[in-house]
Amino acid sequence: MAEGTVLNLGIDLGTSRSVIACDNGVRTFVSSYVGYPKDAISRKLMGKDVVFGEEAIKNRLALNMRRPFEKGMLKYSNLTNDKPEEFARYKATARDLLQHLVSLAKKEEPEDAIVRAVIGAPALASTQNKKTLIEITQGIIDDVMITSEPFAVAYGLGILSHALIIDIGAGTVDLCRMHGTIPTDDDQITLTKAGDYIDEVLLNLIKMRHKGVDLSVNMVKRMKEENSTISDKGENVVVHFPFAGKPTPIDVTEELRASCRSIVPEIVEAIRMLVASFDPEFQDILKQNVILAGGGSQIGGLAREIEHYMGENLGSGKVTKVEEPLYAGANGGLLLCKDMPDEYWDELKSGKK
Amino acid sequence: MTGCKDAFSDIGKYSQATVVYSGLKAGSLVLRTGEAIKDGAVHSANALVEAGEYSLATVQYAGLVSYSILKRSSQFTGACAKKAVEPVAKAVSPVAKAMAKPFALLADKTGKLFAREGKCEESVKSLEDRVLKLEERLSTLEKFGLRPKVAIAQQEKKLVSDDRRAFLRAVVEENKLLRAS
Repeated sequence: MAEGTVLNLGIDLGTSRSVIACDNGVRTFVSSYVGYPKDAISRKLMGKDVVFGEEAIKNRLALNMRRPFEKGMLKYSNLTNDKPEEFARYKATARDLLQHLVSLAKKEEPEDAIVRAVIGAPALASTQNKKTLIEITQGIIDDVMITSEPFAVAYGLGILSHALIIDIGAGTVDLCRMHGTIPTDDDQITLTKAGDYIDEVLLNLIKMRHKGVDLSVNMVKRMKEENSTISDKGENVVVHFPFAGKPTPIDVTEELRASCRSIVPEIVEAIRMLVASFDPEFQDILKQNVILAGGGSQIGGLAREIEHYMGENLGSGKVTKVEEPLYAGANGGLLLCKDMPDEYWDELKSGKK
Repeated sequence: MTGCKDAFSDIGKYSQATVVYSGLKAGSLVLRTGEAIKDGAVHSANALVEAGEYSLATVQYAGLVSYSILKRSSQFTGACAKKAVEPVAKAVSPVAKAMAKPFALLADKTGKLFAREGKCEESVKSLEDRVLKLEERLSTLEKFGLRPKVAIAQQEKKLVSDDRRAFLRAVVEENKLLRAS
């Protein structure tokens, strides 16, 4: 039984953004970038040894930048034997990022507060990947549990039956079928064409149409996050990109639509697989209760586009976007953490039933 | 006959001339009479205005004089009365003060009470506003499953429903397996 102050956390360590929700009211996110000063001069300039999030992106020329997560998991966690040094480096980076996130939540808490967390992992993350996540938390979080990210979303929303959760992140799109029990591997699908894939497609399309434009993935990503839409209605998106050093306005409306649409067919195919393998009596209910979450679900008109595709391929479908897509996973993790009885935490620590 | 005709003609001319002359004379008389009446009326009106002004001035003057007389009389009377009343007032005032003291105190307290009531209302209103803001903030936090720190000590984990508890049990088992593998 825990004595003293207990701090409950819900954490979503994402490829693009890491989100934390805490029961003391702290709810925030950090871009999943960690920067280490390149030399003594840049260290002096930064005034610290590690820089996180937007600050790191802003000063990236003076930093060795690392993005510790890829496709929802720690980089090189599947190549621990082939590239042990790289794996160790990225593990340390992930630890730095987690430490930073927890410090944001713990700012006003007593030093001896017990920190408990539920961390979301991609739906079909391997056992090795999940164990790596637990290792990262050692010394930062006292008690930790790992759970499937879409399940955390479902738990947070209180939709535990007859629903299909789609969590669209930067690295993965996780689909999870909820039917009143804890979802198994058969109930979940992880796709790797997600937000980062859209960025790549968008970059290529713009470069193809506007020869000579100087672009980086970061520029395209920022532009996408500000303007992303699938809808045919609405204003044209005109942005200034440099051509031989001169900022030139270019219309990227079509490229944006095409790139955002590029992930839809695979998502609908995954929905079809999960629906088709479900009890036929409940297939229709499942199709009518598709929930979109995650940062990627903020693309304008995405829900309608998936509905349209479902209509064409599955006969019908109803897609709803959650109220706070970015925080849905972390909120669910927090609720799991808070609801978890003390004895369960103790059990986990002792390893007994 | 011709002589007669001439005589009649002359008479006619004279008569005609007389009539014209009489007409002219009468017209002239009427005109002059009208002008005389008009002049008279103007003079009369002027005279009336002047008379009115004089009357007004007279009344004003009379008023001023009366006011002056009254003022001086009252000053004189006041001085006399003061001289007459002052010793009496001096003698009565301690008694009156003693009699009025409880009422004055009562009035003072009541006044303060009412004044404080106004301040109290302000304080209560500001407190109500703050409570309202806190409630709004709390409802926002609760919406996302967050609770204030105070509430952490009194965990409502025990209130978790059986089906949710089953889910939590499954999560724990999954994590135990993960650690054991």
